[in-house]
Amino acid sequence: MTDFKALLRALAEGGVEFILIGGVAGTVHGATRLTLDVDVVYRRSSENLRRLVLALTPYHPYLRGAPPGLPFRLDVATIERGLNFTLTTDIGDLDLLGEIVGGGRYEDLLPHSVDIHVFGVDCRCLTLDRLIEVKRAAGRPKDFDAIAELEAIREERLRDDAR
Amino acid sequence: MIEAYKREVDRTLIRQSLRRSVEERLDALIQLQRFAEELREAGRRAR
Repeated sequence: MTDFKALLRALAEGGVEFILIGGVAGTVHGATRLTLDVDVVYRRSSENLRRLVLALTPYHPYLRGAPPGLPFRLDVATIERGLNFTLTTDIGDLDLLGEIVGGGRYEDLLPHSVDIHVFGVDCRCLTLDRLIEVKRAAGRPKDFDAIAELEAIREERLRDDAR
Repeated sequence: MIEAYKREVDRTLIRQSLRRSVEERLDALIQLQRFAEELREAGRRAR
């Protein structure tokens, strides 16, 4: 089970620059669907990679689905050589994304993110509009349900605003 | 295509969720995750 609170706190308290996307971002905006991991887009600056490693190392990050015993160490060099990592940690599953289809990198998404305060920490979350756009751009059939719910949320919000 | 899926969305659940704070929504997700885990565990035990 993923400890959403612990993961968000570890990243935010570690000073990691990241933007929440995916299912948890959907929940932030009002979605009711179950999601089992945390997806974030992280800034790929050297300083941020260092913070990311420091924040996650205590929780033993490992490649999700990799055979046990496969040598893997999440350090700055490893993240620099890669881009997107699907990880499992002691506090749950985390997708670390350097870039996403239809959304780009952290710097591209930052203007389309909002500050949220949750579980005692501040973090950034992709806006509802951008979340819908990137899910549409990904074009994965498994997202159709989620996109439909997010669009229904947008309609409900507009309806509320119009009242 | 998405419009067809949208017809199946339960808007009563969405309205209920929108009345909650962000933290309450995430707490509800955590509870849902625990419930799903308990169901999975029960399924494993039943096999």
